[in-house]
Amino acid sequence: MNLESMRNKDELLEMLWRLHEFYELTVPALQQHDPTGVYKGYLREFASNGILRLEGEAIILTPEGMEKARGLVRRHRLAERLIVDVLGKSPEETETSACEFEHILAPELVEAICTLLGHPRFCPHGIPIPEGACCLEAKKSVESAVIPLTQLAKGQEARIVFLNTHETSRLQKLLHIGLVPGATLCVQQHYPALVIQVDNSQIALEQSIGEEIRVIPLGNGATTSPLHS
Amino acid sequence: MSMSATLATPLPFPVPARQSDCTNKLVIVGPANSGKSTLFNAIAQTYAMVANYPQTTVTLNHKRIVLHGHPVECVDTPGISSLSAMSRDEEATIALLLEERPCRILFCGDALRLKQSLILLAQIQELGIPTVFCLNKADEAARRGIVIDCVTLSRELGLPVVESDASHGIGLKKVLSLLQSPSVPVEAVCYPEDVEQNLTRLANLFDSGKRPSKGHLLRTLLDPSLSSRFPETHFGPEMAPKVREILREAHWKHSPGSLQMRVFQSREEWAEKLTRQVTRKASVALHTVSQRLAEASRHPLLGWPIFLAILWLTFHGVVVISGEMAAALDGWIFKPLAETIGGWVENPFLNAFLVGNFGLLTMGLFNAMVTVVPILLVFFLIMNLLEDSGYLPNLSVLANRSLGPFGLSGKAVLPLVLGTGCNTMATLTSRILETRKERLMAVFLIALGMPCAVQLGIMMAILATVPFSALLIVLSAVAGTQILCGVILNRLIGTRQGKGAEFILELPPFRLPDPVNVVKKTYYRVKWFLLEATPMFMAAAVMMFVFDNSGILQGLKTFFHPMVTGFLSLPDKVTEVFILVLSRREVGAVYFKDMVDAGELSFEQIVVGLVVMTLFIPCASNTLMMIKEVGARWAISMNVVIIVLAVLVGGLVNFLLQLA
Repeated sequence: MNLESMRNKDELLEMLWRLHEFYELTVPALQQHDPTGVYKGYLREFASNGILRLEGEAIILTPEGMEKARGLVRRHRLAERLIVDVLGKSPEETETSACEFEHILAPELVEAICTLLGHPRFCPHGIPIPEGACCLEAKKSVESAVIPLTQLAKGQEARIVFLNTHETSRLQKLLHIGLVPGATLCVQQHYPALVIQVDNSQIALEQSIGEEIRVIPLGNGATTSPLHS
Repeated sequence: MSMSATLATPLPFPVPARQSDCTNKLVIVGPANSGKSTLFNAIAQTYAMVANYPQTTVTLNHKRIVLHGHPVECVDTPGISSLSAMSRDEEATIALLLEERPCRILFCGDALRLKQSLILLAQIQELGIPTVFCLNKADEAARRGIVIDCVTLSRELGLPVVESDASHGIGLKKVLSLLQSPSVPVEAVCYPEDVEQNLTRLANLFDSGKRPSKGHLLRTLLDPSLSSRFPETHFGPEMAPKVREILREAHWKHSPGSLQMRVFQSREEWAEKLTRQVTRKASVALHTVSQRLAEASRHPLLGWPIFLAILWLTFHGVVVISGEMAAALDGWIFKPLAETIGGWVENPFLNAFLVGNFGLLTMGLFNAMVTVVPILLVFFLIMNLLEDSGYLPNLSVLANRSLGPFGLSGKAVLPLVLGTGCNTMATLTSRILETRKERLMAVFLIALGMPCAVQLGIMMAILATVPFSALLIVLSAVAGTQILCGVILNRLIGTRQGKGAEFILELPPFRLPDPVNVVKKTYYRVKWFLLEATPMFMAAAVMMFVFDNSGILQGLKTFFHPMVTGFLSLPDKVTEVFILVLSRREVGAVYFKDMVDAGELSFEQIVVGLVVMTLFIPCASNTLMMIKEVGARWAISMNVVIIVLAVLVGGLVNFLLQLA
C-alpha cells in the first residue's frame, strides 16, 4: 500500500467522522463535501474491510470504524491545538502540519500531548476533540503547562490561553468583559466565588466557569512548565 | 494569538434601506454601569434610578422630549456587553436595536473601560444608525491618571466624541448639539477574509436597496444553531433557506463558536490598537483604601461580620431615628389636627368616617404619613448609601455559595436585597438572572419571606418594644420556612426550567457615595411610594369603614373565627389585619402596630401575628408583576402555596409557644 492511498483513506475517514458529528452520514452528503470524488473510491474498500456498512444512501460506521476515525480525528485536532497554543501559530497555519502529525503520532504521545495541553475540548476551529482515556481520568499526577484558572495561587499572574467553553452566550459574555485569550490576569480571591483582576476591572465568577478558563502561569509560578523542565 | 488582519476590504454596506421606517427614537446604549441612566436623567430632565452596580436599569425607560424643536422619544436601556444576549434585560436592548431601527443612538462609553466600550461600539456602528459617542466617567478616569485623546479617537472612528461627566452635567451641552446631526458611522473593523466573503455572499442575496445592515448579517452568520428563527423573522421565509445554505457551508469549516471567537478577536485587536493610540496613562491604579474595603466586604471570614454589622445598624437606625421622628410628627402635627377636626365635625357618622377607628384621615392619611414616611426615609437613606458605594456586588460574591441550595448564584443577592425595599421592584429585577429556573426561585423567595421596606420597618418598630426573644423566634420561623421551601422548590423545579445558576459579575469600584445623589434618590423613592400608597391607604380605610358599618366585617370575622382564634390563638380583630394585608401589606402592618401599641395583644400573639404577616400573600402589585414575569400559572400557584404556608407555619409557631 503506498503512502498516497493511505493518506487518502485517512482523509476519508476523517470526513466521515465530521459528517457524523455535524450533519448526516449519507452518500449524497459525502458527495457535497468531496466534489472531486477522490475519496469516494475507497468507500467500497472500507465496506469490505469491516469499517463501514452501506445501507441504501446511509453510511454506517462499524464500532471498529468508529474507533479508528475517532482516534484519527483526535490526533489531528490535538495537533492543531499544539501548534496554535504552544507554537503560537494562527489556526489557518495549522492545516498542513496537523495532517502530517496525525499519521505518525503514537498513542502514548497523543495522551502526553493532550495532558500537556490541559485536555482541551475543542480544536482551534471550535470543533470538539474526541475524548481520550487520559481526559476521562484527567490525571492530576502529570503536570500540565495549561491549567484551569482555579488552580492558580492567589496573586499569581497568568495568561489566558483558551476558553474551554462551547456555550456561545457564555463565551461571548466572557470575551466581552475582558477575559480574552492573551490577556493577563491575576486571581484575588477563590472563595466563595472567584474574583479576578483583568486590566482595570474586577470580575467575580463561579468556580465552574473558572474551570473552563485555561491559563499559563507567568513568572516563577507554583506550576512549572513541563516544556522547560 | 495572532489573528493577522487580512487584506479583505470591508463591504461597502449601505445604510439599510428601511431608513424610511426608522422610528423617532433616540436610544442611549452602552456597557453596564457606564452611566446611561445619569445621562438619560440629564437629557430627559427626569429621574430614573441610578446606582453603583451593573444592571440597575432592567427595563426600557421612555420619555418624550423636544430636541432642537422636534419631538423625539428618548429611551434609556439596560446595559449590554455585546449584541448577543445573555439575560432578559439585555435582550430588551438588543431587540430594540435590531428590530426597531431607532433614528439616533447616543452611545455611552466608559472611560475607565475604553477598550470594552470600543468593542461594543464597533458592533453598534455596524447597524448603520447615526451615532454620537459620549465618553462618560472622564472625571473618574482623569483622577486615576488616564487621559484620553478624544480628537484622535473621533478622527479614527469617524464619529463625534464628547468627553463627559454626566453626574455633574459636564459635556451635556455638546452632546445635545451634536445629536442634531449625528454622523452615519463607518465600519471600523476588518474581519478575516473568509468571514468578509461570507458576509458578501449573504449581502448579495438581497437587492442592493434592501440589504440588511452588516450587524444583522454578522449576527446571522454567527448564530449557533441552524434551526434558529432569526433568518425567517429578519429576512422573510423566501430568503431563509438561501441564508441557511450559506450558513451550513460556513459552519462546516469553522464552528459558530470559533467564528464568534475570530470575529471577536478582530474587534479586540482593533480596539486594543486604538485604545493604545489614544490613551495616556500617568499612573497605575493602586491598592487604595476603597479597594481594601471592598476586599474585606467580600472576604469569606471578614465579610459576614461586616454584613451583620450593617444589618444591625440598619435595624437601629430604623427603629430609633424613625421612632423619634414619628413621635414628633404625631405629637406636634397629626394628633392635634385629628382632635381639632374631630371637634369641628359634629355629625357622628361623618366624624367616624373621617377620624374614627377606620377613619379616612386617621387610618388612611395620617397613618401613612406618621408611621410610614419616617421609616421609609431612614431605610432608603441607608439602602441608597449601600447601593451607591458599590457594596451590593461584593455581597453577591460573599453570598455566592450560600445561595447554592436554592439553585441560585450570588447574582440573586441583588433582587433579594432589593426585595426589602419593594417586592414589586425586586420581582422586576429578577430579570438580570440568566435562567428561568433562577428567576422562578428568586420570585418565589421574594414573595414568600421578604418583607418590604415599610413592613420591615414597622416590624422592627414592634419588635423593639417586646423582649428580644420575639425577634429570634420570628426570624427563625421566617428564615426556616424560607430555607426549607427554597430547597424543596429547587428540587421540584429540577432542570426542566433550564440549568442552575451561572455567576459572572463585573465588580464596580468601591467609592464614596455622592451625598446629592443619595438624598435625591431617597426623596424620589419616598415620593413615588407616597404617590402610589396614600390612595391605597385611604381606599383601604374606606373599604374597612364600609365593611364595618354593613356587617360584612362581622360576617368575615365569624367565618374566619376557627382559623384565627382556634388555630392561631389570635383575637378576632386580627382578621381585620389580614384583610388589610391582602389589599396592601404595609396597611395591614400599620394597623397591626396600632393594636400592639394599644396593648391589645399578648407576647405570643404578637409573634404569631408577625410570622403570618411576613409570610402572607404578596401585595396586589407584586402579584401583578409576578404574573408578568413568570406567567399566571406559576404566579397563582405560588400565591396559593404561600397563603397555606403562612397559616400553617403560624399555627405551628403558636402550637410550640403554647407548649413552652
